[in-house]
Amino acid sequence: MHVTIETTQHSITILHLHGDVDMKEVTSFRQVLQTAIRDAGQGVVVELKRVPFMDSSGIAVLIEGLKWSRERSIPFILTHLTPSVQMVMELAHLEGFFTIAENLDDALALITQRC
Amino acid sequence: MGSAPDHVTQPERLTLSIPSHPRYLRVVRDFLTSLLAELGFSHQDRMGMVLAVNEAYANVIEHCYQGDVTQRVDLAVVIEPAVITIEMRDYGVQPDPACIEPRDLQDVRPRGLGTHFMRSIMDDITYDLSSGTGTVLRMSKRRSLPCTSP
Repeated sequence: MHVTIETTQHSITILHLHGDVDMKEVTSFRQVLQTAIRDAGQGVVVELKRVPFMDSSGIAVLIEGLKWSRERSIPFILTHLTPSVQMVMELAHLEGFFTIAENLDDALALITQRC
Repeated sequence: MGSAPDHVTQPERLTLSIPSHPRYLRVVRDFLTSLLAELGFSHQDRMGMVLAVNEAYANVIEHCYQGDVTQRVDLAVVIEPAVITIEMRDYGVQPDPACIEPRDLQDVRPRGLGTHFMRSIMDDITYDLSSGTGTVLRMSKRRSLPCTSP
């Protein structure tokens, strides 16, 4: 798995995840996400459309990400959930816990409307 | 759920012996995905069972072998007409029964979701600790049989 990061003109950090997120990958993903949230301006979006598989360790990092964002009082939005990610969200009863946008434009609009 | 292929009349047993290293998680997922597709399971069932086995394997690495990546995990898939059973054998620390019970999901925290996933997806799960060394985890999923006209 690897992560590419971009920052919009509104200082929103977008993380594009590529590949499976499992126990092998979570240590590096956790570090990347923690740093991105620490350095983010207006909010953080995690785009998941290229994540064919995610297990409970990946979900655990996303839960931590939401908590770190709340500590900084910035929005944390997930977008483009694949069927695998959707399944683990439903199994963990977390659909209402996260803010989930259908696509990147919707995610960015949610944050810019708030600013 | 998948329907039983015509040729499965006797139990068939496929085995795989794997090191306790996270790099093989994907190998196990790919193996199971292909096998379950061959057996006619739906995409949804395949995703669920692959997740359940992934969680079990990760738990073995993390808890039973406490991160030691040089140990062995024996995986067996037993295919019967009405049920598929996945056995995972480790030779590490036996789990505390309290740690393999699913937790209350109202308490949102990062740990302990894997066991809940396994129990939600599979029809039956047992932990056999009788060997004294390690654990045999058995997870079963029933298969839908073809309907017969009256």
